[in-house]
Amino acid sequence: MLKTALVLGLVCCALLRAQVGPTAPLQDGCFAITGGQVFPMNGPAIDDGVVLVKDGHIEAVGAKGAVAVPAGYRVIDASGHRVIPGFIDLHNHTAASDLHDIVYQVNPELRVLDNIELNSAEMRIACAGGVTTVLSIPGSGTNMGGFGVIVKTFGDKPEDVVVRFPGALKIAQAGNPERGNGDLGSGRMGMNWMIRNVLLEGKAYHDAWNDFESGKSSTAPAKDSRYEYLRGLFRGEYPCAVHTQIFQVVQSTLRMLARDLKLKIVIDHGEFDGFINAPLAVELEVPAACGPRIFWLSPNDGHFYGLAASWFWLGVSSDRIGLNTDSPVVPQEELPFQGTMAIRHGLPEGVALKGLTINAAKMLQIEKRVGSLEAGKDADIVLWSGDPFDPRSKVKLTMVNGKVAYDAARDGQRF
Amino acid sequence: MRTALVLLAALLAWMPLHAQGDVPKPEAKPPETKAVDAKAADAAKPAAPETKLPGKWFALKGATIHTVSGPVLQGATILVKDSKIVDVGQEINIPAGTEVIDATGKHVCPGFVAIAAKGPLGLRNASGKEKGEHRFDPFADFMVLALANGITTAHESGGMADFAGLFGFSGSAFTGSHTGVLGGTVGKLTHGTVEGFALREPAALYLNSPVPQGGGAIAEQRDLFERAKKHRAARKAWLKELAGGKKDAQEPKTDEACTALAEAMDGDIPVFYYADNRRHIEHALGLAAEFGVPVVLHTAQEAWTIPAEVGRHARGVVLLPRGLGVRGTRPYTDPNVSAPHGWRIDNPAIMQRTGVPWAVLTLNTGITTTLLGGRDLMGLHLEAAFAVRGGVTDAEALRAITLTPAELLQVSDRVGSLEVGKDADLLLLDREPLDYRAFVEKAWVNGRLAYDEEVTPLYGHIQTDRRQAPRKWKPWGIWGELPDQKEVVPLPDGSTPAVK
Repeated sequence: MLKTALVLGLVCCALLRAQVGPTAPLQDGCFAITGGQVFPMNGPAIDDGVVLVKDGHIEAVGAKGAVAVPAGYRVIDASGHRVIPGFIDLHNHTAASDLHDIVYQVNPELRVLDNIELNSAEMRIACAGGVTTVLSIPGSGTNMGGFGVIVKTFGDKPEDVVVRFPGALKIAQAGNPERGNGDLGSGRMGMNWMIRNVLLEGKAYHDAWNDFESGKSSTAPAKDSRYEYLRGLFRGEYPCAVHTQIFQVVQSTLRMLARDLKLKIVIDHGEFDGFINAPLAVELEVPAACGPRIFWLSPNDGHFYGLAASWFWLGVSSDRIGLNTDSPVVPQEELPFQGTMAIRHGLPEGVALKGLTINAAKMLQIEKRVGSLEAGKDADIVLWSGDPFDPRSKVKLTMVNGKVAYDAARDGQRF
Repeated sequence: MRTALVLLAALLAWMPLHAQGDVPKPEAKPPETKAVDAKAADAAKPAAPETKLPGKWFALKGATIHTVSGPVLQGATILVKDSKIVDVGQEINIPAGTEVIDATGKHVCPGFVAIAAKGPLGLRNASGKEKGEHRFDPFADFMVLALANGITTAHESGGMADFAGLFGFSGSAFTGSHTGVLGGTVGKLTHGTVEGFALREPAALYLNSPVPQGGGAIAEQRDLFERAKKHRAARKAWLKELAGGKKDAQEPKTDEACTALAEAMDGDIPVFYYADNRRHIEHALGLAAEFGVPVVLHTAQEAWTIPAEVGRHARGVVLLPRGLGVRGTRPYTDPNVSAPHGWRIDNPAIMQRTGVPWAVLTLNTGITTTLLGGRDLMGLHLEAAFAVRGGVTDAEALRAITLTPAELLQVSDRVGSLEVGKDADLLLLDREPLDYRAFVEKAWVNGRLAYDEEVTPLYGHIQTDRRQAPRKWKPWGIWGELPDQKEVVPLPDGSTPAVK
């Protein structure tokens, strides 16, 4: 019935358009999302807000009275819905990744860029779960898996989906890359040495090239692809996504990578009792992205401590808390459910929403493009039927780069 | 027994009419369990207003009561005597001397029923053949964790009380074979005591689909059904002979699974049939129809493809609202398959619309404190919430973790809803049962307090209203008191939270 009505409506619209002719032609790529409660993430929510989209970008955001809908904009009715920036996953293995190439214990020469799978089943259902950007990184089978790529979950060409390459360097501090039989890398001493050593080699390479480029030295160092991508890391252009968990291991991460080597890092996973390092993370201004585990049952007092909640309540700023799925460990579309569980275990709701949007964008240094609804940013917008963290809520429509990536009415409800 | 029923009827007539509303009335009750608590008769007597009450009485007053079998009652009271519910309604008489707990602004609902589970009863010793009460650990940690998350009745199909795998669903909770396994326990989480633990043993006959193994297994399973049919006929003839005075008539004997299947044909024992995809389901339904066995389909991920057939021949389904959720098993479409297939979020909604009773299974059928959160039995109510996402109502989803599993397990005369005469298995919650922020404040099993958030230190430190600083956040001794929280984080809508 509804479908028939919809079809009839569309036919009528088409006829009207044909009759009205050039007075109000719909312009490609121009949308006005109206009537919803807009969560811009750079200020308070706007009831009955308007979001204008043009050519893949957000053109304007404001209250109904403040932002007029220009002629020719396709109106998307968001009444009764929340309009929220697309969610960003800080730790994904399904968008563009083989998990491991376990040849060397550290592999700064590897990259997942060439493995991007466009419009895969996982990414299509991710859109249905309100996820629009992911950092896809190699696995934790070695101490340094290689360089990840930040991609959108929708797009027909690699150049449409890639937000940035390199997205981040994947380092696995411990707790997976261990080798057996007493080989180098069987224990934390060896693993830490290898991480530190390859980074120091990379730093020396970077410094040598800096000297040459600034004229301090006249001979160009030999190009070495093993260290080439590390240069951007030392320039601070992208962070290290560090697989790290457990008190002792997280402490190594903070001290070695953030304090000694002065790298920009993100604590990924941050599980078990890793959050006990919160004061050190505060001091070093290091953010924490928690997941796929959600809580830790303390043997100290028998309490369930939410991980993200603990990093937060022990002092880490609400701007430096994030969440991740480690997809496919938690399916990509369930990133909001990581927020559900984090809130259930004590994280304030406002921090969870920031964690999946603007905080994640800042951690990946892509906040100029995504993470909030502001004029000029990418039009990655999701219409939710209610609280995005309530499993009962569903996505009505997802827009990625100003294109409708998922529309429950058009595609059928996928998740 | 008859007296009890008469008294119950009298009580129902005396009670205020609160069974009205738009929620459908419960369906006809399935066969009762073999051991019905005789205390129901005592409980059904309206109490005279005397100072010294016989038995232990308590009431939860002023709550939003989700009866499940009837409407949601606002500002209502539930009255319990010993192990039974004596009254529930908006205007009921509370006898003097009753312990009254103020539940204003809180929610009360039946304890959840975990079907095809593994762990919450804390059953030990793997053979599964010993009686549950001999394997039951009334102080098991898993039981506390399950109670803290609302489960008061569990169906365990056998095996050790350990947890399932990292990636969610583990078939290990289902101990069927294509030629049938009889066993398992339906029991209550009577933490601290063995008394009143067992509800039904053996719980069910478990059958796996023979389709994946192919021809030989399919023939073996068919043979089992043929033999059970013959056994049932032989048994009927024997009973007739006995009734006719032929005292030396030989009782027909056969193996355990066959005997159980024959009993199942009379509806005396539940049959759980593991059937995931459409081919398996169709095979199960074919046997169910031909031999008149009311099967419960287990997992039934593709039940939505043939809902009418499922409704005609199955007693119900237990399913995963969220699907299996492991890479490769949750595609919404496989371009190489033209027939309808795969998982769909509206599988429960399609069952609901077709009138198929459905109950909720979790991805991880056990309990885990170290693996992924919200995918095991500690998130049964969260899994049910995903069915709401797929199109059912809150009330329908709540039924799928309370009364419907009780019905499928044939213990709904005792548990699953808040009705006069039923067991007092109740939850007191700070929010509505399907709210992801809700916590169980107290849980009673058989009218006995089995879990108290204030006493058991699992969740009590988490502030119910997350706008406020937590009550206590001190995860490790070395940090002493919580650092002064410098931030008041606005709510998602930007409004400033009230901090106490």
